[in-house]
Amino acid sequence: MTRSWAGAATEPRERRSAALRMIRPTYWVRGISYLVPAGLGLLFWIWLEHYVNLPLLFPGPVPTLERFWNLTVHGPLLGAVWASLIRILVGFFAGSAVGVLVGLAMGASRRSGAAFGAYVHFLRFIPPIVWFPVVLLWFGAGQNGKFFLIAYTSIFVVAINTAVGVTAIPPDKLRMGRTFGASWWQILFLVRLPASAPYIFTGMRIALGNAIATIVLAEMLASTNGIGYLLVSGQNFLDPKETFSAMIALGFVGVVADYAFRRAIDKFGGRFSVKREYT
Amino acid sequence: MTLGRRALDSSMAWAVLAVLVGIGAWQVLSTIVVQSFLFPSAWQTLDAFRAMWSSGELTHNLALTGYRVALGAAAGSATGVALGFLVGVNRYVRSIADPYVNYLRSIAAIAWVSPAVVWFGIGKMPIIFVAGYATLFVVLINTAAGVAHIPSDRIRMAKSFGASPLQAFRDVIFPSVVPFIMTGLRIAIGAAVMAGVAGEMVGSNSGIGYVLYQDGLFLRSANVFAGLIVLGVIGFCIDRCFVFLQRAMFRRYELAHD
Repeated sequence: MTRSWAGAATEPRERRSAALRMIRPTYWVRGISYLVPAGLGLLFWIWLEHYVNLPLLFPGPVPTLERFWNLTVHGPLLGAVWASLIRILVGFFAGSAVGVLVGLAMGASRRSGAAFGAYVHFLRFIPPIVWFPVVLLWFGAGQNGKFFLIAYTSIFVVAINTAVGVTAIPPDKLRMGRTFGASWWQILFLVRLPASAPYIFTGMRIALGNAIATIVLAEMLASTNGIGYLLVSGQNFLDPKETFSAMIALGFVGVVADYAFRRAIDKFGGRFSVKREYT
Repeated sequence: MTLGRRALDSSMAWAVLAVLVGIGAWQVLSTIVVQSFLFPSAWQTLDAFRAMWSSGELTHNLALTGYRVALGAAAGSATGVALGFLVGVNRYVRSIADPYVNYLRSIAAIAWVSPAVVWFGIGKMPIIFVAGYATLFVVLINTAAGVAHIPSDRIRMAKSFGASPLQAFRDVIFPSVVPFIMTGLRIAIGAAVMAGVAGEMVGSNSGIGYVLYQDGLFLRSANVFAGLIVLGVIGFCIDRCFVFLQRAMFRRYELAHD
């Protein structure tokens, strides 16, 4: 890239081939910016392995990654990730849908806001996982209970964000809707709801992170598959390599889920003027 | 306007009404569901609460959980603030730490309870560890974001008035970041309580999480309901305290109202 005198970057004139573009310096910089931290981290891990020197309790990076690879290729890791993902996604979308409705009800009028708010602001402080014993009673150890738990985790974050979005709408939008003769319901669903999309997406993004945390514990307590089960079986059979592998997978799931959600917001949120964010 | 109508107009009245209707529906529902262990009534829950309270079971285990969560949250947020400043001030540290922070914060804190139990044994240490882990990254990210959001003019001004780096940090950078740290702490405390209680279900043999899980297994659902409500009230109070603190610090640190 060349720089004009004003410091603004201008596009290079010649069109370079894809192969040439691959070795653009920026890629190198980006690659190094990931490789150096990764290398330092691995070194630290190896140092810790030798410092602790209890291979049974604290496996180093080589045995752990070896185990991770084996579990991925030959073992249950991918299946576990899939099982957890299904639970998260079903519960998350169901809970978000309910959360949007509850949030709409909270934001629709002051009275309904007070009525629903009393519950939402109370229930959101109960850690979802404490419902687990009750859920176990109601639904048993199967899928439904996990769906319920994940939905519960998602509802309140989404509801509160939706309510904020519904009430934070610029008054001009409401006035315009009324000028065009929209009824109260039309304004609620065709003006307020779309305008609160950015808030809804933000709430959903937080809810997704919480959902992952909840499902892990639910699977640790009562399940025969999933990432949480893998974690706890590693703990029970004193096999930290398996636990570490499951945690590595869990981190990937978290990163990928968050990234996918951010991309989805970027792609579909533009219509509702969602600001791009890279945090 | 008559007194009755005025009362009907206030939000408080509607909230109270909603809660009363809710409790009524709860009572009715529990009489329809015959097995009380599936759905204890409001009265049974109240009784269970009284029994747990008078036997000291509730306060004892709540104190245990509170102690662990507080210890973990304190350690985690102290580390988070320190690391957050390091990451925020120095860009080399930031570029090294960035992938780790982003990756490690994606691992649910509760997952660490497994290795923590293997390392420290069943008891209070895994809970402290997990609660600390839950707070660490929230506080770290908020602190670093706070450092990044300091208007550069403020630092320049401090420098042109001849402040040493230490003075600039103590008198300009740190106070400017306090609002961000407070926001991080408010989120982190909730996360720590959740992780701590969840951790006690698998990695401990005492504490409110363990007790409620056991109660669930032995079909004492009224106890579980009582515990749920108590935890909700405590969480609500802690959050209110934070809001109060934030408001109190509003003037000094220019915290935004929310």
